[in-house]
Amino acid sequence: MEPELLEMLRSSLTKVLTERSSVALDVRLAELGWDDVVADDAPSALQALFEISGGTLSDADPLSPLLARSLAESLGTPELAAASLVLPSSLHPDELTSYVDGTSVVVSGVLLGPGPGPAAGSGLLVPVECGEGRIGLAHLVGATAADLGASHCAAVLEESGQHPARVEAVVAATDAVIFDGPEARAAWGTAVALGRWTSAAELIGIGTRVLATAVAYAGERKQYGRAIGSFQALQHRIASAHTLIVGARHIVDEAARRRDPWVALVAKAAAGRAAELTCTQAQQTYGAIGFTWEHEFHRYLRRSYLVDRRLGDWRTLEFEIGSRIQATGRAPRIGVL
Amino acid sequence: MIEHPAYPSPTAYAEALSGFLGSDPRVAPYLGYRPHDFEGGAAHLSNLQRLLFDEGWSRLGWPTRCGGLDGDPRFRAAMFDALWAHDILIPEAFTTLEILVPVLLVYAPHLADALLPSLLRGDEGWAQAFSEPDAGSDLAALRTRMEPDGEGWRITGQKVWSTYGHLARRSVLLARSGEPGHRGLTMVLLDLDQPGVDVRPIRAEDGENHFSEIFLDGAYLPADRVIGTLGQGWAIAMYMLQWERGAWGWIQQGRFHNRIERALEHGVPSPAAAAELGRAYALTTALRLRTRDTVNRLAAEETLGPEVSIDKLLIVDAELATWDAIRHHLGASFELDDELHWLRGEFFFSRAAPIYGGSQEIQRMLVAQRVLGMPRES
Amino acid sequence: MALEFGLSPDQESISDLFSSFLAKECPTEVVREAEPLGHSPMLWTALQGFDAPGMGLPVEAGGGGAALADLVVVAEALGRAAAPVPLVEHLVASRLHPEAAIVSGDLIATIALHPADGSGLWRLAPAGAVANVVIGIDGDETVAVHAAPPGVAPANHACAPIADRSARLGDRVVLGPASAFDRALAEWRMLTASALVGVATAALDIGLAYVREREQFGRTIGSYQAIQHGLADFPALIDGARFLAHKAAWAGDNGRVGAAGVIDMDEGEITEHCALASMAFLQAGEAAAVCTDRSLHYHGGYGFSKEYDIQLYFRRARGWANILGDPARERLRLADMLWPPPGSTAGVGAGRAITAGRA
Ligand SMILES: Cc1cc2nc3c(=O)[nH]c(=O)nc-3n(C[C@H](O)[C@H](O)[C@H](O)COP(=O)(O)OP(=O)(O)OC[C@H]3O[C@@H](n4cnc5c(N)ncnc54)[C@H](O)[C@@H]3O)c2cc1C
Repeated sequence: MEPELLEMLRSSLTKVLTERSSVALDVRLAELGWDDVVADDAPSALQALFEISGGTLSDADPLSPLLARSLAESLGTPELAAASLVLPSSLHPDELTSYVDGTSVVVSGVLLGPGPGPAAGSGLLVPVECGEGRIGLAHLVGATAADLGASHCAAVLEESGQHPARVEAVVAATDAVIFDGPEARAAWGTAVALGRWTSAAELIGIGTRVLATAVAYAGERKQYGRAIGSFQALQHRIASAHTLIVGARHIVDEAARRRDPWVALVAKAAAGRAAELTCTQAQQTYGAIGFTWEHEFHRYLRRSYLVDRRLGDWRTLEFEIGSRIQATGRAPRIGVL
Repeated sequence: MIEHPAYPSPTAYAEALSGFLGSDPRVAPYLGYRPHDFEGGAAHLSNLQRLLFDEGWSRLGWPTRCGGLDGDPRFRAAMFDALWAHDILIPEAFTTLEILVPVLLVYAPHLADALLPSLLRGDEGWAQAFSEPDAGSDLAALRTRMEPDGEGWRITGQKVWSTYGHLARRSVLLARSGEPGHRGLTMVLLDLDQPGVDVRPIRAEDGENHFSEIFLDGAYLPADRVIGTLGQGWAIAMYMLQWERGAWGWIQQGRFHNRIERALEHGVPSPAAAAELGRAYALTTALRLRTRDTVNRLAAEETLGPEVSIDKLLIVDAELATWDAIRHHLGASFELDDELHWLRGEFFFSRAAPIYGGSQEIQRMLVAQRVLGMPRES
Repeated sequence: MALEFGLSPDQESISDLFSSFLAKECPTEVVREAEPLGHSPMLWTALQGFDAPGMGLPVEAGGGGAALADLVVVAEALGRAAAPVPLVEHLVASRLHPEAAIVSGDLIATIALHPADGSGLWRLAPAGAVANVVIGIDGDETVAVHAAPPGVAPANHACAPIADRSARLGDRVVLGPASAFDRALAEWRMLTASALVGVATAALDIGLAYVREREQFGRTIGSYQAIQHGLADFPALIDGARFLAHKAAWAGDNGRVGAAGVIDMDEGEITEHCALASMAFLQAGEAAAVCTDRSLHYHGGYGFSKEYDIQLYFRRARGWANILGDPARERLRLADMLWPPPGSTAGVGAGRAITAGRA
């Protein structure tokens, strides 16, 4: 995408993602001609969408519709595209917390932003363990989040602009369409990779914003007769955070271009760590003011925790990366000249 | 970007080179080669340098006027990648080339044309002599003097930490030709094999002579050995930095990938070391993609600004993390296994990452002030 | 604020004695000359001159009657000087096997940290390259083996005189069951911890002296925040480790070993010698690694030159801590001691403490 075009896109996205509206995000994006933009340059478009979503604490939820659509495409079942996705609440997305048990589907997981979301009545889509570690997908055709007693997670999380809800329910298997062949596992793998890459972009958005605000604050706040940003101690903290963000961002860019699960995994690990360490350094920069409810910082901190947790937090992912390198003896080179 | 007629892309070239490295018997002595000492390693690898030059491989990416075969710097980067992929150590001389030659091409074309072919081929080695005992981070405080003598100059002073210095025939050197501060500095190319020059190797922590002190007592410099113009030394040194940080970072990421794989051939993988290994790999990947970008920008002849300090900081993060993870993975055999002497040596050297080429503290300061615009100290 | 250690008058005088002795007899030239083996026979002889090798034994056994609380002070002084003598190992071994020639130091004794393997070898015993007597576990027994030392060590960057030794070949004496050895291992951990505290302290001294003197940009580099903040972490790291080693010594001197000590994680009370020794060892390893790493870094290029002393300590910090094996494993072992897995009566050391804490 041309830089000017991308700039225009970013400003329209910022508007869409921050405006208060009862219209579903999908619909508002459609008005932007989103499908054409994505068809034209999906990597840049999606990356911008998620980065801005994180950087503005948008309370829309672009992720579950994106993943539902990806699952629908992979499984060749268009009606899945409008279902709401229940993500596992485990540290790792391959350890599913929902499962199929004989005649029932035991659902345990997290619904992202049930706010103005996908068309009601399209059911819930749940990755499920189908015995012997097999990964499948259950489409609870007629169910809604409310039916299943979804309860919002602690209100403090909503300060982050996210409205995750816990779902704990048992549904009769007869009320579900279950995909449990190898194609379901592959579809979930594709969705996880997509979710990791876009979540990594969101983390970069959060980190970039937090860093910029900290730099600005350090330039204004004076102590000992000088701007605190002139002290080495703060400069070095901020420079090291910036370095991590820039480094992670390069991997996220590559993940966007490559759509490779391994690259997405590495991108999410790097971005999660960069966002967390950036928040740590920024908080130190703010001093006591950053510890107040009024200051925006804590919202970003909460958001970074939530997004990091999604589809594998950075510590878990670092372990997974390392384990795979140990198992194969290979450290694949990501990116060609 | 300058494409090469024989190869549509650096990747195509790397594939062809890989074919050569994997099949030509003359390459065999370099596959998996582990030097026993610095000098022996340098001698052995200069044969490799000659082979790669004579077969044309290392000439891609350099202009024809100085012995190259054209093509932009990405071809050099592709060569490094292919060498590491075959577990071939990059000759120290190649890294020196990456740092010094671009400078000569721009600021001293006459010297480039005359001297570079034998440098590229490894018939002679060069060094870089900037640092002084009292001018490390604060390079602009250097005191080595340069005084007119007839047509030429006489150079007097002391340099230190000059990598490869005791094996080098010439050195690029920064000296004071005028006022104090950075405006009084001039960059020159000095012959080291002459009276008035005394080069003494310094034994580094790993027991090897990686670098040297250079004592200069009226060493002679002909007039045509000035690089750029008088007083332009600082500006040229800044130009050099983008290569020193970007191109070197690319070489290093190749090393880290390779070394992670080599280390896993020893010892027993333990879950306790997995996360650290994962982090090292992620940081190394960040370095690879960052420096790929930098190499691409250099190839497009963009001038890079203070943001190359980020490349250097990423080298530090990746280098320390990689070697920490390797040491952890190997457990006590890292300390005790005779066979792993070479890994130990490289580990030791990794500790220099936050120092060489401008310390981590200085880079962080540059990123904070020049990239992010934080206030200077009052 | 740094923790204050009131050394007892006894400890004070031992500390002074050893520090001034080592300052005179073991300047860093001696450390360098002893490399790569890492052993100076001359320094050993000098130590014999004031009965150091036997100091850890009761007076009745012909020793110096020093308590563990004194020995940790000695070990710290040795570490601070990077002294190339296996006194830590010898002190531990002599307490197990107080033979006259060992007490006098005419024979050097050491302990093997791991039981003999299938082929009857003690792998990489510390001081194995120079010790005449090695004590360790072979099967279910603790044995002492007299044999000529090989005099060479595999290259290792700590320049520690480690070597494989046979548990079978040579004059072999059975000293007791394998469990008789537990205490020696704890003492070794504790004294090595103190030696590492000494290494960390040396890194602080050397680093401070350097950054106060070195100037860049017209100021001493010690005036920069980046360096001040890095150095400011040292005292807490060092004091924490020293405190643990001293507490372990106190527990050992007062018989709080195994069931006679307390490990109560609910109350946060630990007075058991073996657990404290392990904690001290881990904390000191960390302190030595961090302090030598940063101190080396503040030396800039000079940190990498063999001429400067900081590299001597940098290498030992890593090597000494690693002789026991992977610190991660030691951490797990400690965790099992502090929070014994349900149903286990284990806990390493001479049995487990009475109050086991959480079940
Ligand atoms: C392996 C290796 C290879 C090298 N090769 C070469 C070579 O080929 N040619 C060459 O010319 N040089 C070479 N060098 C030298 C290198 O460029 C210098 O070591 C480096 O610039 C630092 O200078 P110094 O060693 O004098 O450290 P100093 O400048 O004395 O710094 C000591 C410590 O103080 C810190 N410090 C200094 N100023 C500040 C400040 N303002 N704020 C906060 N902290 C500060 C530094 O970060 C460092 O930790 C090499 C060095 C190494 C380690």
